[in-house]
Amino acid sequence: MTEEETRRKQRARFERLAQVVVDPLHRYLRRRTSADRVEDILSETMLVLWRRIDNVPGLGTGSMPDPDPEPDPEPGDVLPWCYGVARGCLANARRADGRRLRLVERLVRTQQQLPAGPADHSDLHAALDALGALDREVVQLWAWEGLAPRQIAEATGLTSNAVSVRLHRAKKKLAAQLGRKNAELPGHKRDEGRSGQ
Amino acid sequence: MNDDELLARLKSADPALTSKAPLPDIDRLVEATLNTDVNTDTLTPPAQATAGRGRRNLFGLAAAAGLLMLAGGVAGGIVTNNDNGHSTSAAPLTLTIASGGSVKCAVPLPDRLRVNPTLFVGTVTSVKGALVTFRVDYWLKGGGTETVVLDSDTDQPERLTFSDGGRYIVAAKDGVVPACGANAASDETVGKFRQAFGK
Repeated sequence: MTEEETRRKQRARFERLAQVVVDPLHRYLRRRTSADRVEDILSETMLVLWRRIDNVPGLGTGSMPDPDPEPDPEPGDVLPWCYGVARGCLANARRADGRRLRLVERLVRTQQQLPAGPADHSDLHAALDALGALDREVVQLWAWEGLAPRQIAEATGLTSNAVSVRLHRAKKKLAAQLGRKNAELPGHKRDEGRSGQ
Repeated sequence: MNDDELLARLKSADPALTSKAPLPDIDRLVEATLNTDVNTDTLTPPAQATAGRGRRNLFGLAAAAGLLMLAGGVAGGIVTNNDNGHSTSAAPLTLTIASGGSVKCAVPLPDRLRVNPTLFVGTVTSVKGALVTFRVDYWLKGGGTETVVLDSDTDQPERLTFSDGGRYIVAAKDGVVPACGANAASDETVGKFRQAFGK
């Protein structure tokens, strides 16, 4: 295969990958950083994906005799790894901007939530913030990105087992915290479960 | 609260549902990515064309350009000295790695690296901290020295690591190795480069 042909195949493969992953990656970043940062970090992520196009799991490689045209990649095969790349780019951006950005992100998130209408999620976000960063990421990948523990493992570099343990604990913590909040609302029975006292 | 209730609760608070950020234009993003990559690899001025997107990349480029000019001055000085003194060099050529930029690189191609005035195939003879010493096997462009010392000190986490005895193709411009300018090379790749440069 000539170099030009290899290059052409790589470009075609990248274009097909982009069609599948750009929107989910955009959502991934929107959930985790302020709107004005999303575009920059998404561009960065796409650059990394292009440079590593031969390493993307679930996508054909140049070394195998691929069918031409190659089939579109399955989102479930390629996305977890791509989320991992976006996660790395986000971490780089955060490192570069330091604590200032994290503070801004938290403020933006609270502000976005307040005028959002009837549903007030501030207690849920408070409960998420109370988790460790990795636990929070695992829970979010499960709930928002809809990944299975095996896929979360691929995105985070943890083992599937470690993901399951973390997910289980984090869910318990969240449920406990949210349950406590609910119990404190006026009108709720405050002595529920404490009838013996 | 059971698993399903918690999941429903989390889903209803998904920031992507309420975010007003416009959806990305996939085709434009693909095009910008492919163009940006070519531009950062060759460090040519047309990088300006992508000014609308990725300001951070441009800052990186500007910084790299500054470094190049600075290092160019220094390397130029060394070359002149060598010319005035002994014609071939006892002292090794010294290179540094451009900061910022790339993560992992594709297989090196002769056409991609041809723009660099310094290009050689070398075998690592020692790695001391960030200092990597090469014995030059073939000079493809520029050069003349038998050894090259590369200062790979960099804060990039995912950098190419050099292993003792390994063979690499290294490109440099004005004493600085650009992003994706140093690559581990198989015999096949070396053959391809020697053929392309007639060495």
